[in-house]
Amino acid sequence: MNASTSVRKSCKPRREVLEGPLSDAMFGAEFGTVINGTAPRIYQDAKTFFANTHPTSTLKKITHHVFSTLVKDESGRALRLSTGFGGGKTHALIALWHLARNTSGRNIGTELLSAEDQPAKMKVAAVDGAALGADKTTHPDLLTHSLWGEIAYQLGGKKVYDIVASYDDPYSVPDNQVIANILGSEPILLLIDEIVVYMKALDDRARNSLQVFFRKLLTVITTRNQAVLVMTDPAAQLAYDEEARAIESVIRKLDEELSRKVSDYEPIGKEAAQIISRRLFEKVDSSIAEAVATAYHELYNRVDSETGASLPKAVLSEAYKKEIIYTYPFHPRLMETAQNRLGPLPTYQKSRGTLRLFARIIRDIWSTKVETPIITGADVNWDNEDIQGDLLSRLDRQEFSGAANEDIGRHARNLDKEPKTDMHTRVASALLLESLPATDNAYLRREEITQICIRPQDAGNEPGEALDRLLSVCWYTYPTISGDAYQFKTEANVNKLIEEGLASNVVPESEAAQQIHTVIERYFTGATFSLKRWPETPGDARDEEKTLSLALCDSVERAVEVVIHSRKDGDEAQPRAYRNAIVAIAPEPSLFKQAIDHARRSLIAAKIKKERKDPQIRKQLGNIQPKLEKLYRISAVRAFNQIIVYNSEPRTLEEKYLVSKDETLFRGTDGQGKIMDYLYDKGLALKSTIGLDPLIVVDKLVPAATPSTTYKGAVSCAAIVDQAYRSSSLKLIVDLEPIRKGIEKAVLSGNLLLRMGDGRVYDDQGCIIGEKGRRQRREDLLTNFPLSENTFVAPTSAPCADDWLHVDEVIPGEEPGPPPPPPPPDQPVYADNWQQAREIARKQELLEGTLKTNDLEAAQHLLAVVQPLSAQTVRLSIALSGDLKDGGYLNFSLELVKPEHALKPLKKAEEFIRNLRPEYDFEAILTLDFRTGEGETRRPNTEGSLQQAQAQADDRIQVEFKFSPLE
Amino acid sequence: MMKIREAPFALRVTRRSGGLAGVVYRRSSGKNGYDHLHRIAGLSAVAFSAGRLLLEKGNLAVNGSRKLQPGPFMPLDADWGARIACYALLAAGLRNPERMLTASQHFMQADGAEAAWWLGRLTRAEDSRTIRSLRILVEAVE
Repeated sequence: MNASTSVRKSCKPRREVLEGPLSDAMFGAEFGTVINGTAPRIYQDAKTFFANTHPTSTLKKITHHVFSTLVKDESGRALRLSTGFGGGKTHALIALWHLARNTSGRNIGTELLSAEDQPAKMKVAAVDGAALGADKTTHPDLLTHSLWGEIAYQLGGKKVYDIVASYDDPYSVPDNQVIANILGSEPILLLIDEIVVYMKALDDRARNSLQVFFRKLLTVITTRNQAVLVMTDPAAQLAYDEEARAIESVIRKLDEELSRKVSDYEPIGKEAAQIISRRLFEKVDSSIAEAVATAYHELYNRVDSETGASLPKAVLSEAYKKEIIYTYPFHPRLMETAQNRLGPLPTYQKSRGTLRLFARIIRDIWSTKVETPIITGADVNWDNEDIQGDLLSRLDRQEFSGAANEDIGRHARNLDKEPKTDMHTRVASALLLESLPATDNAYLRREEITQICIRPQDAGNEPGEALDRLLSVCWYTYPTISGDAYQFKTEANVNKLIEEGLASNVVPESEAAQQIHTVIERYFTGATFSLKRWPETPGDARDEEKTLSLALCDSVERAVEVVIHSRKDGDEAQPRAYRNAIVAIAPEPSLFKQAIDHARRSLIAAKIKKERKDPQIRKQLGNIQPKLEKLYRISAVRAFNQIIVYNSEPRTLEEKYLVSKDETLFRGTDGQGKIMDYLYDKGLALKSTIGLDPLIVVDKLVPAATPSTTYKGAVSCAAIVDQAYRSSSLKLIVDLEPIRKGIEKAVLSGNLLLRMGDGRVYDDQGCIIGEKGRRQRREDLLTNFPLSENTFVAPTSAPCADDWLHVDEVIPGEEPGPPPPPPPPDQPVYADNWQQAREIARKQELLEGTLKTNDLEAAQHLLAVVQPLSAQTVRLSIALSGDLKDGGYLNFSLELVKPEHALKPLKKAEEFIRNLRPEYDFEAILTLDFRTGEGETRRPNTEGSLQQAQAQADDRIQVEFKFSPLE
Repeated sequence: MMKIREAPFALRVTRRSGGLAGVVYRRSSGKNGYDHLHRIAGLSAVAFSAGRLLLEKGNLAVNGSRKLQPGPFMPLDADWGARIACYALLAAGLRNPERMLTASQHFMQADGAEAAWWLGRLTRAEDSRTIRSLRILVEAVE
C-alpha cells in the first residue's frame, strides 16, 4: 500500500452506507422515535448505537458530569446542549438515554462512561417536544395533558401521575412541592428535546405557564441531590426555524431563565471529522492516511515551488499535513465546505446533512469504482441523481440544475474527451459544490481550486488550465468582480448569451463570412503577390502577366476554375493564358465552417459588449472576447490551407506553413511569405537566384515566342517573358531574374545572340558595337540587359544572325569607337552656373531649378536667394547623417517638403547638427518649378530675376537650371 | 424595380486587377442644367470587398437581387445611395479591410437621412475635418 492507494482499498464503509436506502432517519437522529422504540436500529439498539458513535471529548464530559452527579450524591444540576441543528445535541441525548436505561448492561457505552461511574439504580424521563401533543399525549392507560403530567407518568406511571393529575393541563403549573414529589428521592435524569416545537403548539397563556414550570423545575432539581436535567438549547433554534421566530420573545425569556441555572455544552466540539468517519466507515487504515497526507504535503510544496502562487500558503505547513491525517479519507477542504459553506444553509442540518452527503459520495465512489487517494469536493458526482437531489432539491437550489446538467454533465465532460482527462469535471464539480450557498462570497480562488482538484500524479497546472477552458464554454460560471475567484451562478453567463445569439442568428453566416474575408485579405496582403479578391467567375480575375497574382477564393472548386480558365460562361470556357502568373488559395470546407462559427461567436460577443452594461457580464467579456477574437482570426487563417496552381491537384498547406494554433503574436499579415516559402520548398516557383536552363530558353521559349517583324528569326525579350508566363513547362514566375539569367547563359554558351536597343550585339565571344559601316568587335561579355521590346534574341542560325555579327574593316589611323550620340532635337537645355543661366534665359523658358548646399548657414539663406525668381513651387530636401556625440548614428532625411512645413526642417536639422560630431554629412536642396498652366506665355525678365538671385547667393550654393528645348 | 432614369444614386461595378471594384454616382444637374449621374467616388477592390454586404443590401433593397456584377449602372434609392456614397468617400485612401468592414456595418445600420446629411457635408467644399470625423465615428480609423 502506498500514497496513491485508493480510498476504496484503505477504507471499509459500513454496510448500511453501501447498501439499502440512505433514508433521513439513518442520519437524522430523532429522540422521540428512540423514546417510543421506533427508531432505526443504529439509534434504537444501544450496542449498535455506541459502535457508531465517536466518543468526542465533550460527549465524554457531558456523560461524566451527568452520571457523576447521579452516582456521587452531589447536588442536582441542569445542562443545556448548544449549537443549532446538526450539532450533535440529539445524539448526546440518545447516548444519555441509552446509558441511563442500560445500567445493568455494564459493557455498553464504555468508551463514554466506565462501568463504575454508572449508578446501580436510577429513573429517567425523556420528552421529545416534537412528539408531545399540545393538549394531550396518549399512553396505554391514560392521557397526559401537560409537560409535567408527561414527566410524572414517565417517572412512575399512573401512580406518580396521580400526584400531578389535578394540575395536568397546560395552564395549571404545579407548585415546587408537587414537583419535588413527582421526582421522588431516587437518582433521576430528565432529558428534554425540541421544547421550541412544543411551545409553538401552545397558546400564549400555556407558554407562560411552561416558563413558570421550568423555573420551578430548575429550583427543585438544583436544591436536591442526584437529579439532572439535560435539555437542548431553545434559543439556538431561532436561527433555523422561521416559525419559531414568531414566538421569539417567549423563547428568549425561557432561555434567560435557563441561563441562570444551567451549564452549556457543545457535544461535537471540533471532532466532526471523527464522528463522520466513525459513523460511515467500519475501518480506516491509518497508515495509508499518513502516507496520503505525506504525499499531499509533498505535492503541495512541489507545486508551490514550481508554479509560485498557485496554492494557499496554509496548505504547505506541517499542520495541514496533520489535518489531512485527521480528516482522512476526506480532504480537510471538503469538511470545511460541508460545515462552513453548506452548514449554514437552513435546510442542510450540519452534521446530518454532511453525513447524508458523504454517505452518498462514498456509495457513488464504491459503485462507480473511482480511484481517488482522498475524497474531495472534486469527487462529487453530479451525474448521480441522489447526490444531485440531496444537494439541489433538498437545499432548495434547483436553479443550479442548469449548471449541474449543462456545465458539468455536458461542457466539462466534452472538454474531458480530448485529451482524455477528468480534470474539467473535477474542477466544475468542486466549484459547484462551493457555489451552492448562492451568495457573493460562495466562490473558489484559483489556488483553492488547485488545492482541491490536484492529485499526486498531476504536474500542478492542470486545474488552472481546466478552469480557463471551462470559463470559455460553461454557461453559468462567473468570475467575481475582483476577477481572482470564480463561482457558479443561476443566471446564464456570456457563453450562454453567445449560444442563444447563435441559435437566434443574431449574426448571420454571411456577415461572419464577410468578416473572415477581411481577415484573409489582410493576412495575404504583401508585395510579392497582387491580390485578386473573391472572384465569382474566372473572368473576375484578369488574365495578366505583369505580376504574380494570388486569387482569394471561397471554395476549392472556384479556385480551380479561376486558375485554369480566364473566362467561363456556361459551357464556353477559355483557358488561362498566363498560367504561371497565378496561384489561388481556398478554405477547407470543414475548417471554414468552424472559422465561421468562431467568427459568429466573436461578433456576438462584441454586440453583447455594446448592449449590456452589467459589470459582471462586461468582466466576463473582458476575459472572453479577446480570446474569441484571436481564435476566430487564427482559425480563419488556418482554414485557408488549400493552395491551387495550374495543372496540379489542390494541395494542402502543411502545418509549418500555417499560423500556429496558439500563436501569441498573431499580427495577421505574413500570409504571402508563408505561401512563397511553400512554393519554393515544393519546387512550384522559380527561384530568383537560379537561372532558367538555357536549353529551355532556346528550345521552348524562343521558338514559341512571337517573332519580331524587325529582325527575321529573332524575338524580343518581352515576347520571351510573355511566353514564360504561358509555358506549361515552366513553374510560377515570381520575378524575371531567372529568365534574364537563362537568356544570359544561352548567349554565353553560344546558343543565342542578343541585340540591345542601341545596336550592340552580344554572343559568346563578346560584343559587336558601332554604327553601320563602323561596327567592331570588342571583348565585353554580356552582363545586364533589359527584358524589353527593344532587346532581341535570335538563334545563331537565324537569318538575321549574319547581319548582327557583321564586323567592318578598320580604316588605318582611325580609332574605332562609338561616336557620341547626337542630342535629340527636343532635349531640354541645362545651365550649371548663374552666368550661363542668365544667357540661356534670354532665349529660352526657365522650367526648373535646383540650389544645393552642404552648409547649414547657406541653407538657411536659400529661401532669400530664390525669392526674386518667383517659382510656382518651392520644395526643400534635406539629408543629414553622422555620428552622434554620445554614441550612435543619425540619419535624417526629408524629401520635397514645403520649406515652411510645420516640422520646421531646417531648424530640426540645426538641432540635430548640434548633437553630431563635426564630421557629419549635410545636404540641402531647394527644388524650384517654374512651369505654369498650359497656354501661358513665358514669364518676362527671367534674366533680371536670375541676376537679383545671383546677387544674394554665394559660392557655397551650387545651382542647376533646366530650360525649355531650343526652338 | 427602379429605373436608372429615376434613380437618385447609382452604382457601377467594374472589374479591376485586384477583383471587383465600383463607382458610385449621384444624380445632379451639370453646368448646362441637365440632370446627369455624376461620379461621387470610386470603390477600390479592397473597399468593394470589405463593403460587399452593404452594397449587396443596397442592391437587394432597390433591385431585388443581391448579385453584384460588372455591367450597367445599378440604380440605388436615396437612402441606400447616401449610405453607399458616404462609405465610398470615406473608404477612399484607406487600406485596412477590417476597418472598412466595420465602417460598412455602421452604414448598414445608419439612418438614410443621417447618411444624406453626412454626404452633404462630405461633398461640400474640401473639408478634411468632416471626413476625419466620420471615419472616427464609424470606426474606419483608430
